[in-house]
Amino acid sequence: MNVKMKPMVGRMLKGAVAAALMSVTCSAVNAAELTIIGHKVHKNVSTGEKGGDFAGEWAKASNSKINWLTFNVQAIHERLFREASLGSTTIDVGFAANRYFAPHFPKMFQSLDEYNAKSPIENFDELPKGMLGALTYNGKLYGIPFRHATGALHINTEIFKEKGVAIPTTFEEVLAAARKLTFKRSDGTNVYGMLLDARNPTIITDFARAMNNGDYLTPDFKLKANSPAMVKAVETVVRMFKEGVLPEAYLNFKTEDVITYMQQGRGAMAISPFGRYRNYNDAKKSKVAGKVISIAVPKSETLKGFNVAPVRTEFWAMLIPKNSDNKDLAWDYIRNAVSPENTIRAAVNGNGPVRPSAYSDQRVKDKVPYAAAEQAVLAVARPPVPGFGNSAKAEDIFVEEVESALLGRKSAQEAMDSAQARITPLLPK
Amino acid sequence: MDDRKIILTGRSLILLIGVVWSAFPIFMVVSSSFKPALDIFAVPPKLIFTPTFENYIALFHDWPEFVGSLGNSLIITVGATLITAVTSLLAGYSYSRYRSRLLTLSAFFMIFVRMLPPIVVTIPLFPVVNALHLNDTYIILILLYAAFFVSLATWIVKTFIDQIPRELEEAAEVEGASIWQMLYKVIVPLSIHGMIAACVFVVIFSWNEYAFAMIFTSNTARTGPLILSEISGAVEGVQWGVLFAATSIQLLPILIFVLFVQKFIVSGLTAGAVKG
Amino acid sequence: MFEDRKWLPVFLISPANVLLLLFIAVPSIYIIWLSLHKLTFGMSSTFVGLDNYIQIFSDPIFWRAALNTFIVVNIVVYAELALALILALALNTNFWGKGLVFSILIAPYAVSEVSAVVMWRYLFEPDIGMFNMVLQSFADIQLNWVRNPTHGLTLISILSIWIHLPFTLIILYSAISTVPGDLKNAARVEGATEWQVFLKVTMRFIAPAILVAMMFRYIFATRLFSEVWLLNEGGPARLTEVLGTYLFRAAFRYHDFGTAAATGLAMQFLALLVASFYLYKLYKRMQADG
Repeated sequence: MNVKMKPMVGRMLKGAVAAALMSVTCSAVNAAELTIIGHKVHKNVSTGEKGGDFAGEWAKASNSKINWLTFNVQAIHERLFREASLGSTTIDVGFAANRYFAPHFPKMFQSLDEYNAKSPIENFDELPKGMLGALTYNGKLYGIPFRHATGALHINTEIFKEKGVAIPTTFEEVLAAARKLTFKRSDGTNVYGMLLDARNPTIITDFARAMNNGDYLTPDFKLKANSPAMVKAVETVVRMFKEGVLPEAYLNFKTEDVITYMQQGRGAMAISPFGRYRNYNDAKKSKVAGKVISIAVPKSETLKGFNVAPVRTEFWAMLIPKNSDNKDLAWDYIRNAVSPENTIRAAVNGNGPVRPSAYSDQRVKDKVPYAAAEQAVLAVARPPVPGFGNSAKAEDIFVEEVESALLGRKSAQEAMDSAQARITPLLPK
Repeated sequence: MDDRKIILTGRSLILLIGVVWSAFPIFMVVSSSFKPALDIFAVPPKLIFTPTFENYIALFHDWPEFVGSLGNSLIITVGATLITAVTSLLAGYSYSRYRSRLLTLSAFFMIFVRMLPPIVVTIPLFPVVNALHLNDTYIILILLYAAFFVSLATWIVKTFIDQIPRELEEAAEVEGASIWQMLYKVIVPLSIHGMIAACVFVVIFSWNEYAFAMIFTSNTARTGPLILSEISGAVEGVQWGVLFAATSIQLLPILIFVLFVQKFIVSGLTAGAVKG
Repeated sequence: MFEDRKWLPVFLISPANVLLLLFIAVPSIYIIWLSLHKLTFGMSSTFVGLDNYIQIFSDPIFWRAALNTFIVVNIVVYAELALALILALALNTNFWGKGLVFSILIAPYAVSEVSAVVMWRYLFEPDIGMFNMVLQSFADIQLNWVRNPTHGLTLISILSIWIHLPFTLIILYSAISTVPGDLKNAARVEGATEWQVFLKVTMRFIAPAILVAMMFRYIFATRLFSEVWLLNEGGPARLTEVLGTYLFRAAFRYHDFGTAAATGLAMQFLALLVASFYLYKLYKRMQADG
């Protein structure tokens, strides 16, 4: 090396070392930021006290910072879809509920097969196929399920004892018990045999499923609104309403009202997600705390091939917007969040775990009294309807027709015929 | 004398009914916020109960960001109100004192443009705001809220300025006052109650607005109503006690504000000065 | 006055108008364009001409929504005018605690709509709501808004009046207080009764304020949304649907942006129609004052 080059090389070397040092210290100072949009409940189960803060632990280990952006359900999707439609977005992980799945996902969200191949999710095969199927478009996977809510039958054992009715084991017995357990108390309050969430059209689907595995819309988009199974389900609910087995205000009943009525001891049974067990037995909020048990919805005695009714399951999945800057980091987070161990920890924090094996873990069994029942149902439960472009419109039409039947303006058959006619043009071609 | 007594009883009765009608549901919300959760929806409704702070404690424990969100609401509300007040004063004065085709056109343009439901406008605005990196800032909501109320405020202010005799301005002009001095010394004091009335609307709207805040803010500029909507949108069952506690807290600053400014809305004092 | 500065009037109105241009007028142009297209998330827009308009105008639910909106808006606006006038007159005197009374009367406007609806729902819940229980024992009827759309619209109207009465009240209260006492006294001296004083002096004086209040109230009322959505979501069976909820569904539930744009413009046209009487009066007045 000639003499003139030495100082230059020396300076270059010094520069290189300095740059290397800077990049190392800078990456420690400027930790990457991961923005997650979801519901507060997702944040709570990922950072909870009982099961542990696995999200926080992941953040420390990966030298990053998690920025939780929480909204109510409708707003989450509104923001997520709008953000994913922009040129670039700060959102890296988005939670979406199966009701909102739509064919525009491939355009807005990252397909995850490549990521899963490179850095696979532990025990990926355990994730429910039905859920993964709902997230697959043109053979590619666009989301990973994280949380599910599956229908259960909640029973106020005190009321059952009061009237000497046995816990039902078939769906027919459920309907009969509901009738027997509708009465007026001496202080004038009404007790209703059954509490249902009217705003949620899938409750009719639940009835159809329990009675003969009926469906309103099959996964391959065949509309069965006026199939005998669905008409029978609608007729059953209408009859219950007319007989006063369902509350007077049923037409406007939301999840909240089911919970409130049950907590106030005004309902003998309720069909709502397993997780509501906690609401009904919360000593601070429920008059009937400790008296409510949650079991799988019994199937009709004529339904073969199932042990329990294959009711609806609704679930949340994690997706990565296509225009995010942190996709690798986002995948790392998702992978960590659905690991078998963290699924168990989330369950202890109150989440509905999508892995059946989680229910066999002792920690979950200790914390979740209905674990065995939920596990059994999860095995056969299906999402209520597949998502498609006009899902929301179809749902609104269905609810409207059912309400017409409940009001007595149409017979169940007429209502379902009308629904069939109105929804068919909206189905994907 | 009898005539007066009838009027007096009539007034009192009307106001009493008005007060009960207005206050009763609010009273229910606030009192429910002090009820233990079990009693809130008890039937028959429990009118006597042991008050508790548990809902408020739960609120601050589960939703620590609530206080910060109210702070954001405050900043945005004050900003929007200031901008609305200034712009509507200038515009209202101009529409009142000058006439031209352009002015008439633009005065009615201001009304016409407000007939479009605002939420539709979020569809094109969202990408633009994001491209300009104005999302999740205070300024975007401040400007939006001001834009929504500038029409109403301008027309209210104009109506009040219409009633100020022009002699006062002419006198000021003769004394060599600039337009700004005139606005400040003559117009504002005499139309202040109209301006305050208009401001009350902006304040209440900005404080309670949800849709635009939901679309345009993330964590930095999040406002109070978003937290309220989260509390009432709980997926595992709404904590009513917490919701009522949050509602009561969110309501309080506005009530104090109204209590404070309501005497400026009436012009009992300034009527005399108007006469020449 | 200030005639030498021709630019002054335009300069004064520009901040307000620029705000409106930027945030409403310019996006509206896009909205007009959008109403002629089909657009949703994840797809580029397709031109469909007047298809969106044809779709909504042939939707019976749209017309039901339009009718419901028209009915409720008119009930609400005039009821509020009457009530606000009565209250403002009752307040137009000095008494101890007047400020507190006025603040309480304004309070409903300050409450967030979510809480207001929760409370009114609770009070009117079928069978167990306080008010319905009272109605049942005294008149053997109930406001069965869950099943009966007419009762539903009634409750919506009551709720809307409760929330929005302060709007008209504030404007009228402020205006009534500016009526010069001397004018009223002069009229009294000439032998006018209180009623005549009210009609000839007070009403004439506050007429412009009433016009402005009515016009804006009409415009805001056509957007009626929260009261309906939070109560019953336009149910049962979409029978209490209003244009505001119809628009909400198109924009935020179906994400059918072309239809939402068309609905928004249809609502703008409806608001124009409904407020045209007041607009005309305002215009005439402006010409007269000039």
